[in-house]
Amino acid sequence: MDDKSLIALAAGLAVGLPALATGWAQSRIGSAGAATLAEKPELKGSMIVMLAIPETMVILGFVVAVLILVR
Amino acid sequence: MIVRMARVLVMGPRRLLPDVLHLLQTLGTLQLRPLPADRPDGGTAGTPRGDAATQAELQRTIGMIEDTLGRLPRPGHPPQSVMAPEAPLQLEELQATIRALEERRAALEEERALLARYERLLVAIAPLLHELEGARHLDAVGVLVRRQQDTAALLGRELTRITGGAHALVLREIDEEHLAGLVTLPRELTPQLTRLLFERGIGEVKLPERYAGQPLAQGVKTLLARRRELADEIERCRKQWVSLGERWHGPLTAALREARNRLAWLRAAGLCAQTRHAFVVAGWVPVDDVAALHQALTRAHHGTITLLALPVTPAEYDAVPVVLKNPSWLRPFEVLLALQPLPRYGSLDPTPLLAVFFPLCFGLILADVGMGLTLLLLALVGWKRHWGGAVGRDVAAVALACAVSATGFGFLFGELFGDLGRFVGMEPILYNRRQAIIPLLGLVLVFGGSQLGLGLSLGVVTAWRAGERGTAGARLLMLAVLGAVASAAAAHRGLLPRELERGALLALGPLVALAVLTEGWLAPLEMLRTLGNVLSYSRLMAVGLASLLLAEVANQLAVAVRPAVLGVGLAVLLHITNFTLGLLSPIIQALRLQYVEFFDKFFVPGGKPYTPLSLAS
Repeated sequence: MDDKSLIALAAGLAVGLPALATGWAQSRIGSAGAATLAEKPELKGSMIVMLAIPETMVILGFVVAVLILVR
Repeated sequence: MIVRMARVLVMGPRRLLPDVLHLLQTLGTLQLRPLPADRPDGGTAGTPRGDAATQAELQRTIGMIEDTLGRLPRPGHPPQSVMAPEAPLQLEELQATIRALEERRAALEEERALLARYERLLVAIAPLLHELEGARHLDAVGVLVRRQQDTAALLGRELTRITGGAHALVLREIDEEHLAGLVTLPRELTPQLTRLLFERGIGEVKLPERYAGQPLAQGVKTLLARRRELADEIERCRKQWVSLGERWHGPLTAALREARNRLAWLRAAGLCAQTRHAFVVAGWVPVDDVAALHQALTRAHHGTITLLALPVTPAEYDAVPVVLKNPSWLRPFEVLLALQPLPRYGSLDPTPLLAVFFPLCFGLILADVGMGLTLLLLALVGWKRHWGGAVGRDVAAVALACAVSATGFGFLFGELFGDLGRFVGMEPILYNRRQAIIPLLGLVLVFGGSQLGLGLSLGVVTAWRAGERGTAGARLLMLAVLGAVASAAAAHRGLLPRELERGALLALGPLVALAVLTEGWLAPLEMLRTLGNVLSYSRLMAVGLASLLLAEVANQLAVAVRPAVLGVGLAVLLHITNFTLGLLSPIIQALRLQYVEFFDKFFVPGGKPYTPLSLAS
């Protein structure tokens, strides 16, 4: 494997692995959130924001991937 | 801005308490607060037993009226404002009438649905039955035969076997799969035919339960006649229901208002303290309304009532109700705050900050002239047509600010539905987001650092004002760490003298040590969390870039796919998808940055809503 392929693989992993982690975390928060909303619909806004919290992982992964590709 | 409140005490002769409470209810500015039940001066506070029973009865009546109103239609004309004195008395009778009407209507609808199911079948065999009228020794049985399975031939053979040919079978088509048939045979052979149909799995047309027991011919005739009557009866029921609404909606609304006012008055009376000769009412009033309250009490009771207005102390902040008052151009942004708990009294109302930073974050992410103008158009149409009522108007105003921001950043980055801007001579003024990824990352991190720096500064002031010196000190240290890291980064990039980088990094050591000494071992973790918060602003770049790339893919599709019409169609579809995502994603990400990263630095939740004693509207 040449350097270019390795760089592309590293960038893919940098964004792919956090994406999996984000998906897993959001699935847990989402199911808990659905249960919460059934009892307290007034927490809708908080739930949307909480659901967005794990996205930090994939976004930082994306930034790292960009840095790998650009450098 | 959080409205300044005053703690007030209203005192006077006990006999005037009912009138004073009525006056306070009419003014609608005083939120009562309970007084201690056991008073050292021998006075009493709380609800007497008789009042508690009245309150329970009123609560029950309110529930009944609300239930009745919910089941009546709103009249087309404005409801009468006159209270019908007999309304509460006749409530149970009215509820019974409505219930009976609803049950009748439901039964008629059910019957109509049932007849509709039979309709095609009955319409097919009704003319055949007509010919059999008066034949006493013959019986008629309706059948439903599947066309594909050659069931009709089988039925014919079996009928010949049972009756020896003394029968008639007539079939009519009712749909692509079924035939409706009528078998005429000697009455004594009917049980054998019924058994045969059961054994061969052939459907027998049975009349609905309520028509059972009649001969088929008679039953079908009754049923078809009934079908025509049903529509009239249902319409009669509907008219009765509408007329009940017109007769009772106004009086019931007035009765509901009266009952709510009475209940509020009784509850308020339960919160007052009384001695044998005097009463005390305690509560919270906006400072600006104290003078008007004093004037109204003096005018109504000629100086026999005393009003004491006292300043609120920090120890009472948790109990003081919160009223937000912002200029009209800022008020729509309070809708964004509705997703969070109210700020505690004595803290900061973040509405003005939301009004600045939310559209900025949204614009930084969307940053497209085409999408910004589309959103602007949608917001203007929504505003003009009053979509979603008062809340919809607020949302439209926020969307308007976001659209302006997105259009502005779109010009700065030279984007019009992705890269279409180059065809109309549009060039990036600040950055080309596609190429200048690292500078863009730097820009959003500087933006994030500045916003969090502002948040920490506000947090220092808020904590200091609330007398929380420790929290103020911790936030100050955090601000210093953020400043040191920012200075080191700026010096590293050559924006500040290079020598400053080393100094700023060295300063971090004592700052962290001081934080550990004052706040414990978790302080460094808290500092790392704040730095992580700054990095979190990189989402402004990442999500925006993803949106831009999607728009560019849509444009490339239009060129690459042949025929051109298909390519353009696909591109438009993708742009619409991107626009929808481009609305949702920036809203969520921008809100998240405000609520999670920014508010964490200064926002103090826990405010109590302001619910003054007032007349029901």
